[in-house]
Amino acid sequence: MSEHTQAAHQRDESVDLAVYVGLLILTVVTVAASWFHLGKIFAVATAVVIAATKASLIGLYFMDLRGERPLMHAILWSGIVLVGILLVGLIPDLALKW
Amino acid sequence: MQAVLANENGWTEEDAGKVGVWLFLLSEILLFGALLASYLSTRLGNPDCALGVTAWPEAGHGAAVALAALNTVILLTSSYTMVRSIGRAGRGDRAGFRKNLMATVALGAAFLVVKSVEYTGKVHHGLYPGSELALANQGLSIFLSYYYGMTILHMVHVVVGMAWNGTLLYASSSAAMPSMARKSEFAGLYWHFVDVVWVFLFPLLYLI
Repeated sequence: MSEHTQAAHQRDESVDLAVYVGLLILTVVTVAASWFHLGKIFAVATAVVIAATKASLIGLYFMDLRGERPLMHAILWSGIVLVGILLVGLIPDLALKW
Repeated sequence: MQAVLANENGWTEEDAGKVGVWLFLLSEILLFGALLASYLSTRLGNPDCALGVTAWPEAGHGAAVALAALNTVILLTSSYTMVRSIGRAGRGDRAGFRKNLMATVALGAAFLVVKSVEYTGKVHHGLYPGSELALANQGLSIFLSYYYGMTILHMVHVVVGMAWNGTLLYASSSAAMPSMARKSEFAGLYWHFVDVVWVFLFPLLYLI
């Protein structure tokens, strides 16, 4: 069995539990942050940053990206970069409307 | 123990399968990423549907946020039971694997039940595309189209994930555990992705 396969199948359950508790805490933080009137840009930025942190925890620990081959990271990042280009491409249009 | 064949670079059949699952997830990232980008640009840029101008009307919004938060907890818990089932499968613990996978499927069903309760409340308050309320408010109509489009698409993914996990559960009564460990890892990648999508949808649809 390959090193990557073995690592994925032998899980540290205490780490998984800690990540799960961390995700629940970040959910509470997400809701609490919405109670403050941060202004529209900060409200979106806060929501996206907390969601990205939660997604990173799920990706790194639950989806085992920590010990994964570089090819899987390349596939994932190509998607993130393409969505990022789409978002950046929308900025000029939004800037004209503000 | 089942022999696992690897090529000269150490790549196994499982590694190749994972590449396939990740390529599929790439297409899903682009699908949901494009929808979220379109939604955010509409909320931020369209004067009829901008933040602070139109989002959810007050009626029933508190209950909807509580239900959506509950669904977040349900999906996060289902991701946790999914990793537990994969861990148990890796150790050859068939009973532990089946118990945790069953919990994952049950939590997926719970998500759908809570979502239908939330949809019922929204319809009761006239919050659906084509309602009198939506027709009188163009911004709300646009917002509701995004809301239902993205949440229903996400629900379809939950149903597909439940079907995938349910199939594994059915097969696991007699299948060899090393094979179940490999297959559950593929299903787990998809299930966690469905969770990640909801992690973004929850604050962006309900809290801004």
